[in-house]
Amino acid sequence: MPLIDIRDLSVSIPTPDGDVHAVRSVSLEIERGEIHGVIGESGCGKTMTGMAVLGLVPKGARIAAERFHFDGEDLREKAGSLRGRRIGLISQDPAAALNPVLSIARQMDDVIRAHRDLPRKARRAEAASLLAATGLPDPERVLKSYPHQLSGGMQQRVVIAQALATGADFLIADEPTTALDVSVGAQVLALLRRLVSERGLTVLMITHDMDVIAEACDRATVLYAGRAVETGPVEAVLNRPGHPYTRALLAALPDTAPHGARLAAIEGSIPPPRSSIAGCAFAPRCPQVLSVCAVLPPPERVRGAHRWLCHLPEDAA
Amino acid sequence: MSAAPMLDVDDLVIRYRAGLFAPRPKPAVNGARFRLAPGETLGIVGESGSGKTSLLRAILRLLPVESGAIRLDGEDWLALKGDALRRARQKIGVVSQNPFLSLSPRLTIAEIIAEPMLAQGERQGPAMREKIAGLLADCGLPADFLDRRARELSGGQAQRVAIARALSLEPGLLILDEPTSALDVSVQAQILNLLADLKESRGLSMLFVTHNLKVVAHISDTLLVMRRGDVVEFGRTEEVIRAPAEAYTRELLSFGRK
Amino acid sequence: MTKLVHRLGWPGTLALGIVVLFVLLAIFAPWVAPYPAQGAGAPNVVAKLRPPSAEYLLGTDHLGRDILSRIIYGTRVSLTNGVLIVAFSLLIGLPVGLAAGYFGGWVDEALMRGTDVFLAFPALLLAVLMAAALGPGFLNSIIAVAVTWWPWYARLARAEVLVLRGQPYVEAARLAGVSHPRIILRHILPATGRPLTVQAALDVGPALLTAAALSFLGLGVLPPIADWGQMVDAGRKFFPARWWYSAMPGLTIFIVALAFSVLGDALRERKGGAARASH
Repeated sequence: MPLIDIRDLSVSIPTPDGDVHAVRSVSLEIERGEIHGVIGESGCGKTMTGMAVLGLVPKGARIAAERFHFDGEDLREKAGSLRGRRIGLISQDPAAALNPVLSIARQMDDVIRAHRDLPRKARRAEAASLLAATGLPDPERVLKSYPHQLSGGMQQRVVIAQALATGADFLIADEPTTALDVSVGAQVLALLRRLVSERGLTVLMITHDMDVIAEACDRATVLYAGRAVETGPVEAVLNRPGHPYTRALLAALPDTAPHGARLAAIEGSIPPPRSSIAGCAFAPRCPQVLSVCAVLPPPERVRGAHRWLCHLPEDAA
Repeated sequence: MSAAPMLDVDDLVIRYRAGLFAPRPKPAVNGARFRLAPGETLGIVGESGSGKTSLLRAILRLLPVESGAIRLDGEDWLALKGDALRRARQKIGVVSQNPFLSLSPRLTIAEIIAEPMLAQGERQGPAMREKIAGLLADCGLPADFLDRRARELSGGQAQRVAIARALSLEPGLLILDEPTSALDVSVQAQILNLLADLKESRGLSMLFVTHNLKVVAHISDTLLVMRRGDVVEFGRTEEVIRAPAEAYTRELLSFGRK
Repeated sequence: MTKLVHRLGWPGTLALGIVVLFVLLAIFAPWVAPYPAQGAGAPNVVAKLRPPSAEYLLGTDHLGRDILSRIIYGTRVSLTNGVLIVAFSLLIGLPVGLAAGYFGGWVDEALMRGTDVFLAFPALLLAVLMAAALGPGFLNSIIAVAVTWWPWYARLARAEVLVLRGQPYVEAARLAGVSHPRIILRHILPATGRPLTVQAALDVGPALLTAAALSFLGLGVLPPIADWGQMVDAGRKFFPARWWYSAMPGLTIFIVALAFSVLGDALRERKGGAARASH
């Protein structure tokens, strides 16, 4: 049984001007020990999907799904109790996740105390051990420090250590490297990979950056306009993309094109979040659009463990 | 192509002042030296703390320089002051990272683009309005955007307005500070294409500052890599990419998709 | 109407109603007051110190004048006080804060240290000292209070300007060669003007209260002009036997000040609420 089993998840937020369909239809499965990347551009619903798993959607938002399970339990009811116990979050801005007026030791202690019944000295040792596990070279010095005295990369490691302290076995990493330098971000991703293999963690990596998917993920799901349009092993999705959006996205990257040549930009823009979409959401912008695309929802195409939604046949990719 | 470089930076040292009793800090920019030929794009890459932002702000005359020289289109740029400086600023157009911050939230698009022109003494009127509409068209925006406000636009559209504003005084040099870092990949591609078109049609020289080596490797003719205040790499882009002198550059290049 | 209630809440709307009522009373005093002549000061010796009755709804003062009419006429003085104090304070404080915040450096230092001198004194004490130095009178009392109020606006303006000066779009204007005066006029002033005028509008209440305190001490307008603070003072020697003389104007001051305070909270809440972010 996959650790995360989501089928046809939708999240709608009612507003005075109509419902915002933040997530229209997302299905994905994450196995234990997997790092699963969810990639898409702004407005695709990737962050809201993560928030739905955490039970942190805005007040009044409606969640519907055919299946929405974590380790067999229904997230629609259990998300609140799973959060902080088995599901942890690592966000984009580590400085914002840490309290600026408390020392790291104090913050680590707060988390450890909430989950383990240990005397003070043992808690401190545990904090140091967790910091060391995230690759920080001088845990004692870090414990004595305040967040602003640490670099972005070190702060992010502290946040990861806190997540480990909760005993969570599933981490949602929402753009964990976007606020960090490239080299530092690479280290953080390497750290996550190491923790996954050493401690049997599972990670949902939310990002807009293909390089992050390539560096750190085993499988990936591509989101467009609130829909999961493609999912599969990273190698397949990046090198033999099935969905025209994935192809267009990869083609628009600057390192795909020869030096100085025009980039293959995608014409048009994403559908408004309050609109209802018949057929394929990408149809208005798709270079290979067929007349049926705007009318009928696309069927699923399969190539082994690699799936995508498209009216075009598999071999057209 | 004329021999005189558009921008000539020589042994530039920028140092921030520390407190009264603190020891003298290491320079933020430690003797930078490079050249930008007319009609070319120079990409400046560096991570946080590399000094690229200080270098950029010094070129924009927003930061004092400890020593060194900057020549802009042959003139001693650092020697200009007051009104002479204010007028000479029209040679440089600037595009910043976040268009929603660099465009005034209260003015209309037409007013935003008109501002530099009015500041340099041009008159309001139908001629100016036509010029503004022309600039918008060159940047891929229809004329009915003139009366809109920045908050009604998407990120890509707003950045196009920022580019149109930067071009309003017909500068020879366009300085872009992380212009696509806040944009989606597909929008980034559109903006980079637009910049390439404008560079060609207007003969612009461009200074493109970013942390994204892949973007800059694609669009720049020459490349400058900074690390902790030092210029560790400077040369034609293809050469730097093919045979980086520093392990640091190699590391930056290797991240991500192969 | 419901939109108003939605924006301000019930307390806020009620408060707004009270404020509007008092403004109307001030404007239409001669037509609303039951005894306009007495309100303006004419004595009515036959009816000295009468308790509240059907004839004199809030009683009469020591010269037999109808207190209700006096209070109604008093709104003119009080509201004018409040508005003028705030206006003068803005007139001085805004340019000082603007210059300090925009130009920084020694200009900032000099102006702010000057402001600090005024802020070092407790406001009411300073107002009293100034009023005592200037002597009683309508304009003098306004100047006295304005002199103690302007530093707050200077501080507020300076803070707003500091934030604005750092905004990228202001920097972009500098880089495009826009001159300082133009930047101040087009970008800084409009953005600063709004929070400052909102603050000023809400300060009318407290300003009014301070002016009433001054006239209570005899440093405000001189009789026979009706003024609430002065009336409270005059009624002191008849307290508590003829309680209505001090209590009625006192209650009025209380209600008006409270109304402004509640209105201020309601307006502030509305602006703050809009900034609350949802995920």
